[in-house]
Amino acid sequence: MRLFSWSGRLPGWSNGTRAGVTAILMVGLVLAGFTGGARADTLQQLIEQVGPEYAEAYAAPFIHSFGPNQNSNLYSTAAIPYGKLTFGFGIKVMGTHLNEEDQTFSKVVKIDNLGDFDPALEGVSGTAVMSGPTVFGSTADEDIGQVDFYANGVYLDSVDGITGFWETRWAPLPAPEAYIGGIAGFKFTLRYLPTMSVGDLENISYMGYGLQWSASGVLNNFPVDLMVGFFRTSLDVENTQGLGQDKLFDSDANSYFLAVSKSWPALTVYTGFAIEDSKMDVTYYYDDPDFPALTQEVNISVDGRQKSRFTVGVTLDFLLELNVEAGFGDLSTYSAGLMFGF
Amino acid sequence: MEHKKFMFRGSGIGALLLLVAGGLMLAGCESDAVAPQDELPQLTEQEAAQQAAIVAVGLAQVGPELLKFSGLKYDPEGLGVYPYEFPPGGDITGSIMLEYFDGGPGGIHSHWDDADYGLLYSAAGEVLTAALDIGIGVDVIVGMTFYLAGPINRTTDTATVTGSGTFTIHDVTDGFTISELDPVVLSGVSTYPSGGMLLFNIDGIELVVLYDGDDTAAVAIAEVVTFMIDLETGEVTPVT
Repeated sequence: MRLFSWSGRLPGWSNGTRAGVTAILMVGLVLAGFTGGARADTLQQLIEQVGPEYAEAYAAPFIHSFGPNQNSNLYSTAAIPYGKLTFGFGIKVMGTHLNEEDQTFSKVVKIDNLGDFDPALEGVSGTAVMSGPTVFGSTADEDIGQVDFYANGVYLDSVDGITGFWETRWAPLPAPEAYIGGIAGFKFTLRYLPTMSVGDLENISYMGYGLQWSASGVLNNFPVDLMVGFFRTSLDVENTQGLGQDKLFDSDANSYFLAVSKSWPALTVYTGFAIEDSKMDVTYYYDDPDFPALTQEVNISVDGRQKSRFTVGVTLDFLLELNVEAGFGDLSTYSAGLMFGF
Repeated sequence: MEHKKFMFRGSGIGALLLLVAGGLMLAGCESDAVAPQDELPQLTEQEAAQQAAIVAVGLAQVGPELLKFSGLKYDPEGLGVYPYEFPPGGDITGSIMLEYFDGGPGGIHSHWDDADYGLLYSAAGEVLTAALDIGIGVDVIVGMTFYLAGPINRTTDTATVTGSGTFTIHDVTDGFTISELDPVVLSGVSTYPSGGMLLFNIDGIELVVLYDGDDTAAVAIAEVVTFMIDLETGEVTPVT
């Protein structure tokens, strides 16, 4: 009797992929502020146990919520002065409330040649069925993910996947923000973190900028304030492999929005509509000593699911400016901001 | 400008508030699921035939034990009821129960060599395991249970059985039946059933396995022989 002998990796899985997917999660989670070095190491250990297809599905709730989080809380009023310089700084905290289904995943991958993993199976095609908790799913050992291999419709073997990393339905992201405006109805907004290193990830840079223009000075008799604007965010991690692309991880998010608000003393209610997009790219080069045929440059590119949103929010302005808002698109994102303004 | 805004408390404000209220009502909206939730792909006809083939090989190896059994004769209290454990090293592992009767299905228990009717079945909780190469280079493991019953003819050394059984591939269990119209004819001297049909409905695909006495069996789908089974290995090949 000779049983299927799985080599311990999934198709196309590589150390480089691990680094890429780990980068996505580590950078995001570090930015989210809820993972220190030890927790990040734990996550890396989790990710290193599985292949790219598994990892992409496992990380999907994080990947697809990252863009909507980046594009949240971009404004708190449509009223911008025309002749009074204003500036401020503070912190914005965003959280996407995930669908309950996103705590688990199931992914089916066709494998053209199982011989890549066991020479006895050369030329035999198969199927890998991956299932288990996502990054935001159960962390219990008994809920560990699993990959089942099939050939010719018959089960061959299973290997363990990984558990969830943090059981929650909230995918968070904080961002420091500053703004300056008040001239001719324009307002410039900046989100920025100084370049930093986290673990093995070097030169992590995060920056977002946007411009808003309020029509309040033009539409003098209009009962509400109107504003249009855009915002662009970029998160990059340098590729230190010295091969291929210069970026290991590149995440961009863009938002073009129209907002309406009504203000009373110390209170503003606002609403808006935005067209938005986001994208994540992971690029790296992998040299596989065990399976030379798998040596390759690997590129993972994922477009964010959400393309538009409707926003409602309330701003309280009494010494400090506190706003809370909800954004509804494919995903529901809630956010709050606390700004010190002058 | 602030002073100007307070002059307008009409429809604009109301509309905005309604909009905000509407938006807040949406706050209960669920996000769409973004993690993949793939369904298991439906089996192809060949894949379903492959599953049926494993059962066909398993039955061809297990069934003849009804005729080949020649174990110890038990005392009268256990007369006619025999457990049988498949020897290690073969394709089949596990145990089955054999029961023998004299006087047909309503007869009395008898020793195996006196019987004209027999049962072969899996005891509760007992699952036979078949490990077959199916032509791919490694063995696949399938769990099986059987309930076969039918007359035994010691002159021709055959048993003509009907019944049913199950097979479990990983965590999915399906079944098969042998109808009274086309019972399987087991032989004590040949490895291969000399006739009969196994009926399957696997993932919505209805298949019939037809034994004909040689080392192959045919698989018919919609009454058309579509695949052939190698009863030695379980390998399935399309009929061209």
